[in-house]
Amino acid sequence: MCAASVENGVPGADGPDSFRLGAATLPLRLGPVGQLLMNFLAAMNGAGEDADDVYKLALSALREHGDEAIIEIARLENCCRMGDYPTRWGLIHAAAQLHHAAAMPLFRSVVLTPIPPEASANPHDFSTVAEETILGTTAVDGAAKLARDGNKAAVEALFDFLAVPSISIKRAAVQGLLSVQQGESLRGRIEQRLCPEDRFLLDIKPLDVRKATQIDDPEAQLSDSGRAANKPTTPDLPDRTATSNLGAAGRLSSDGPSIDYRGRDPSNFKRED
Amino acid sequence: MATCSIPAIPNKDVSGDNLYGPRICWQPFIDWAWGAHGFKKSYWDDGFGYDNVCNNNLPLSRTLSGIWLLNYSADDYWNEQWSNNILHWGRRYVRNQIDDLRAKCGDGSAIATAFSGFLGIGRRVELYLGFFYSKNVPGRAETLVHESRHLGGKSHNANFPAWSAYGPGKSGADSSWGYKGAWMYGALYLWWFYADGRRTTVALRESARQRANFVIDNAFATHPGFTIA
Repeated sequence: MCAASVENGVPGADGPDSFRLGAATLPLRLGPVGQLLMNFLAAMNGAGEDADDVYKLALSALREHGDEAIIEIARLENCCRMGDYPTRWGLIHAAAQLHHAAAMPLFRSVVLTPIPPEASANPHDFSTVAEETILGTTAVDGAAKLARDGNKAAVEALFDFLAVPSISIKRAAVQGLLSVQQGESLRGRIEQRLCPEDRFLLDIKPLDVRKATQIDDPEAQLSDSGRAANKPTTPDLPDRTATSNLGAAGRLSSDGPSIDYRGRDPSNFKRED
Repeated sequence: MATCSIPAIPNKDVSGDNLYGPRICWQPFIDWAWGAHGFKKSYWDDGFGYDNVCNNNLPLSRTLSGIWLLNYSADDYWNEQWSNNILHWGRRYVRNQIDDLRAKCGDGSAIATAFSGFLGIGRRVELYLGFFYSKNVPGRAETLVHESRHLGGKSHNANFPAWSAYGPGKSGADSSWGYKGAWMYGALYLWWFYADGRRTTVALRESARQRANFVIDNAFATHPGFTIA
């Protein structure tokens, strides 16, 4: 959001604000491989009964152009606004899904390019370093996938990533190395490459969420007004409404927005539940 | 009054808005979500989407998408008992805590702020441009969980550790996973969404895993000692 335009914006200031939409999408020139990439991004995020088949077809079509696809991913990632983190993440994730050795230079570049200094005034709220780091760990995981397939260049890249000054990159690289065949035998070499204060990363355990500490009594963690709140529960999705009356929603408000169906093609709003 | 705009919208396939946007375009859901979270018309019109609720370029649709995800991502979403996991009761916690939800510009990068009702500032949650356009749909749901935890009375209680990307020594961290603060709530929600989220995509679940792992690594004064498998 570094290029957002705000006049007089102060979090917490009283009174409503006003919003104007800018250009809806970035204009991009796409060749045939770029179009296949866009199809893959759409398929990667599609739903419905045929989503798996559509995804596999799109992935297969893109894999046929593996080297070119990676170049196109790198080009588009470079074209993105720096602050367009969702799109940049999707492109790097797509490179990882390709499972192609040609992606290694891209992964190396994403991980080893120094992260720019924090651009946010309030990193707790929004951190550019956090967003860049998440792009990096996604690339590390892409390299780790290749390493698990026996790609030696990927294994060496993971060792190089241990020198990046980011605890998350190092953690992802350690986990990646330990996950390759006979990864446990790499512990000594990993330890040598980590500075002493980072060696605790070797003790970090991958965990299933069901084994993590949960919140025992969430109701007790509500504010008094939250505990007293008695709001209707979510409306049932149409497929459940047909068989159950549980969870029926109440109409709480008469001043909410209404869908304007005029001129709208209902088929564009098919829901995939 | 502030006026704001954005230069371009991130790819809506990748952000999840092309998946969830059509789902929120459903009048019973809109009516319920509007009342249950205390949306106020005066804070959602004038460009924020009140007059065009199904337009997934606009803040209102993008907020409702986060709420939809929060409400329907458990397989048996109708089971929201507190004894279940946060994928089930997270929605209940959020709607019980949030009574006043407002769209605002912020400073251009800000995501959200919860005001607990002290110092003469009314109790509410404000959502800013960063929430609508820098976060994907699971990230918006996580933000609502995080801010609701603050409204539940839990502030951050520690400084970020020496290794944290949020800024070593700065305030805003939680002391530990066991403190069960806002960072833990948000990360645990994302973790469950990754592990067992339904009516979504593998890509969005994977994005949740990456973000949750980042929080686990950087937001606690003492590293929890685990990572998401």
